[in-house]
This record gives sequence, C-alpha cells and structure tokens, in this order.
Amino acid sequence: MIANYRYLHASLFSFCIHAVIFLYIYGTFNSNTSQALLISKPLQIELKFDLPSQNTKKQIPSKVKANPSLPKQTSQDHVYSKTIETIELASNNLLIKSNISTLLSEESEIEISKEQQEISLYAQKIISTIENAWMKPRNIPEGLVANLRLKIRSSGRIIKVDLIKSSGNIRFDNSALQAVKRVETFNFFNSIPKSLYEKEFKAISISFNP
Amino acid sequence: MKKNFLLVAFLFAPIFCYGELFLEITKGSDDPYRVAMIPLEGDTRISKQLNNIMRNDLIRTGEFSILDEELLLPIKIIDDELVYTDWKLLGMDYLVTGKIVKAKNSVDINYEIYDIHKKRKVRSSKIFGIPNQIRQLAHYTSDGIYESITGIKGIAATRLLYVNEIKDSKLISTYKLMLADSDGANEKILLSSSEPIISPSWSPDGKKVAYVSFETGIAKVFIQEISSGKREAVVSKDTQISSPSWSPDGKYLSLTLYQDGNAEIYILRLRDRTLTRMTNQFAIDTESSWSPKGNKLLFTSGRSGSPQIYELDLRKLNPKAKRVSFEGTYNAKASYLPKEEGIIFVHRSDGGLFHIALKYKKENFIRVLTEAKMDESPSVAPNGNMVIYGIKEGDLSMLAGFSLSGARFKLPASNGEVREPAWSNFLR
Repeated sequence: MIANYRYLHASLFSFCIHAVIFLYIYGTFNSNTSQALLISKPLQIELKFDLPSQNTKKQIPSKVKANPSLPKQTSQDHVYSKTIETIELASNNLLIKSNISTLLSEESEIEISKEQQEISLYAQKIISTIENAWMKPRNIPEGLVANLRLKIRSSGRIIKVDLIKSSGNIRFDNSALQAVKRVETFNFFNSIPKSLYEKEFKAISISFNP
Repeated sequence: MKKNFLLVAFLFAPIFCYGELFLEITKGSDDPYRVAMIPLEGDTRISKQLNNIMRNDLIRTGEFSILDEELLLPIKIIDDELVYTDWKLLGMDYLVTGKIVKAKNSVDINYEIYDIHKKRKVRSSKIFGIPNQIRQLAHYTSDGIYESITGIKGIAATRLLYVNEIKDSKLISTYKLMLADSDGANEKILLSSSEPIISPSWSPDGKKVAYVSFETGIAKVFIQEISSGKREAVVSKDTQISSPSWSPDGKYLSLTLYQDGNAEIYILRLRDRTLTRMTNQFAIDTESSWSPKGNKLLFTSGRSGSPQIYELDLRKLNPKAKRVSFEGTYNAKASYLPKEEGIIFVHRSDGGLFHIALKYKKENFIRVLTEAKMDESPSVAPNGNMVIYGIKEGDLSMLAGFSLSGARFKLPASNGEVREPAWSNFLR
C-alpha cells in the first residue's frame, strides 16, 4: 500500500514537472509573437524621452536607457514612458494596441510628455553628477561594464549601493563604487515631485560603460 | 493561452524584473583616491621616517593622491566619534591615523582607516615590527592601507633583484647581483663577479634566486639561496645556458640551451635534474617565462624572420607554439599579468625605439606604456598593477617603474649602472 502511494506521488510529481516543461515550450513557441517578445526581449530597451521644446517623439537623450518592466495591462489610469516603449516594441499585439488607443487621449499625451521631460532632465542630472565623480582607471581592458543598483531617499541621499554586475576587473568595479560613494547625495532630489520620485527615482540602475 | 503565458511569466519574472530607471555612465575624470594621512603619534623621529616611506609607497601605486602635510587638520573627536565634516570639505575619501607603540626591542604600529563618505571606520589593525626593520614596518603598513582601500594586495613589502655594474678608474667592470626593497632602498649584494651577470629570476617562495653568470667563460645558470649564499650550477653540460625562469610551483626551471646548434627552450626538473626539450626549430627560441598557473610558457622566437612572442601550452603532449604578438617587427621578453589577462613585453615602435607594451588577451591591439628611447626587460609586480624595467638615461642604464594607473617613478641609482630587474612574488 505504501509502495503504491510512492508510485502515486512519483507519477504526480513527474506529471507536474512535465506539465511545466510542456507549458513553457508551448508558451514560447505557440503564443503569438508579441508575448514571446515580452519574455525574451525586455532586458534593455532604449527609452525615447521627449526633450523639452520638441514634440518629435524620436529624440533620444544620449545615454539614458531604460529597463522596462512587464507592462501592467490592466492599469487604466497610468500609462507612462516605459509602458509605451514596451508596447511599441510589441506592436503585433492587437489587444494592447487597442488598449493604448483608448488610453491615449490627447490630454494624457501632453501629461506624459511633460513627465518624460522631467524624467529625462533628472536622469541627465544624475548622470552628470556621477560622471563628475567617477575616476575611470587607466589601462584597463576595453569593453568592461559594471552595473550598480542604487536605492535613494527622497532627500537624494543614496542609502544603498549594490554591484549587480561585476566587470571582472577589480580596479574598474572599485572606481564605479567609489564614484557613487563620492556623490553620496543628489542635491536636486528635493525638487523632484513626490509621485515621480516614488515611481522612477527610488531605485535606479546605473551602468558604467566607457 | 493566457494561463500558460502567466505561468511562464511567473517563472521568469524574477530574472528581469528591474522595473527601474537605468542610466549609463560613459566618461570619467582622472582623479585617484584622496587620502589624508595623519603623521603617526609617538616618537617624532621614527614617525617622520615611517610617514615618508608610507607616503611614497602609496603615491607610487598611482591610485592615491595624498593630502599635503601642511593642509592637514587636527582630528576632532566628539562622543567617541570622529568628526567627518571637515575632511569631507577638504574633499577627502579616506583618513588614516595611527600611532607607534614601542615594545621592548621592536616598534609596532596601530593604524586606523576611516571612510569619509560612509562615515565609519573601515579598518583598525596592528602591524608587529621586527627589530631594526623600520622600513619593512612602513611597507607592511602601507600594504595594509592599500589593500583595505582598493581590495588589491599591496606590493610595497615585496623585493627586487637587479644587476649593478660598476666601473673603476681603469674602466674595469665589477658586476653585482643586488637585492633591494620594492622602493630601491635597503640594498644587499648577493654576488659580486668580474664577469657579467644577467637574467636574475626569483623562486616563487622568494628564498632562492636563479641567474646567468659568465664566470666560467660561458653562460651558466646558477641557483643561489638568499639566506645562506649557497650556490650551484644547475646543468653541468659544457654548453651555453641562459634565461632561467622558475615555474610557479617552484619545481621546474625553464632554460635556454645552445647545445643543438641554436637556442632552444628546455624545462629542467629540479628534483632529479632531468631536461626536457620544449622547442624544435631552426630559429632562436629564448626568454621563456611561465604563466601564473604554470600551464603555459611564453617565449621569444625568430622563426617568423623577426623576434616575436609565442605561447606554448604545456598541457598538451606535443605542444605547438602559438604566435601571440603581431604588431611591428620586434616583440620580446614577454611575461604574463598575474591573472593571465594579458602580457607585458618589449615592443619596437615604427620609429625604431624600444618601449614597454601591454596586450590584453581580448584585445587585438597593443598599448604602448612607456615613452623613453631604450626601454628593456620589464618585470611585473605580483599584483599586476606595476611594472619595473630598465631605461637608458644618457649613456647610463637605470631602473624605472610605472603603475598601470598612471604613476611613474625612477629608482634611485646606486652608483654605476643598473639593469635587468626582477620583481619577487608576495613574500608574506
């Protein structure tokens, strides 16, 4: 009897495993393309911010890149830059597209571009502050990239720094960490609106990529 | 359809769920760690001496800028807590304080390192001195400071070998094999000879040296114990032998033998003195050096018509030499960086000048690191951040060094000419 239970458990377990594998394969190959894109792609997508005084949407501020999360398709009230980007990428997806068309009434578009302007402005400030503080080590191999993740208080104070991707060169990693340490506080953070801070600037990823 | 998508999304969500702003930094300034070093408390004479040595050790690394002593502020401590704001206003990254503790017949140092930005003590350590070894004590301390700030092992307490040639009034040369601290101080004579000495090489434990001496009329490789001065020729054959290099485990010596009509690389097993021939070529093969793991040999060969650097994989049965240098018509005397990420070698530029160059494995170009005329025989420090090499100033040979971070220095010349430096391993 006990043995039978064992077989039962084993078969149940193997059924579950196989089901997961099957669903995964089925999901990647058979789902329509946009979903596959969403899964395999969204690691680094360039954010196309609107620059102030220009209403052309294709302006790309030099080094700002975004890492969009999976869009929450249910949220009706808020569509912001990242969502739009991801959706543009997944242009095949009719469902999302129809969602956008309902969402993008003219007023909200204006709001979005204003918000994007602000994000771009503050992102540039963050970049230039860190660039000023960063000592790039000499005679290091080319193509090193280190990624840091910062947690920042609303006052602008950096409370946590994590090295999320090491470059493999200790001098390079050190220089990146040291740069952030030297910055310590972003002085302009108190001018960032509270809602924007909560959404975008609470935690940021920085890539050192000379 | 939706369900399985959700499931897949759920499985993979944690992998790319950085829903946050992502910024990229592409340029930086050129500004090293800024450190304030308070002179050590205690005996002022010793403190001054120690302070000078430590300062120079740190500046030579190229990764530190040390605040001038006149600009130092008094240390303020309120409620057992250092007041950081003053140092922050001075733009410092770190503060080093310490004191000298005199024991019965030695001097110890207690030192502390404060991170000005994080506002906390990052190291508190004690260095035990050996009697009459003030310089060594300073080097150990600066290595401790260097390591705790950069995370890289310091090399101030390592040592150098080099050859010193002194001409007397009748222009007769005396050759001396010298041992010194990494800053060129504390020189000791290991061997003195009227015939040339070349190619000194350290054993990995730092207790023995190998070198080529012409005392018998032809080039012979000798091994000498540093502490006792005991020495012996390694191969008794009646042929020229040169450029010894110790394997990282200390069990083998790679050599160049001239017994086959031209120079070929051999490996000598020290235990039973058996020789294994590694190259078989009509051209000259010489200047071998081991990879840090001991599984590869770099050497210079003329097989392509000009001296170039080749690599031999010792793990293979009949290894075939692979050419690793392709730029220019002269590349020689190569050695690996300690993580094998690249090689340092002598490169002749288009203008016919000899420079020290660096080539990273992953890059397909070389970086020329020096700009004098006749730079020769580079030797890499065990942490890979510094290189010492020979230069010609006027007609005189002397030693110079640089760190990969950009600092340059010259070693104070003892009298005469100095050449063929060899950097030891870590000695502690």
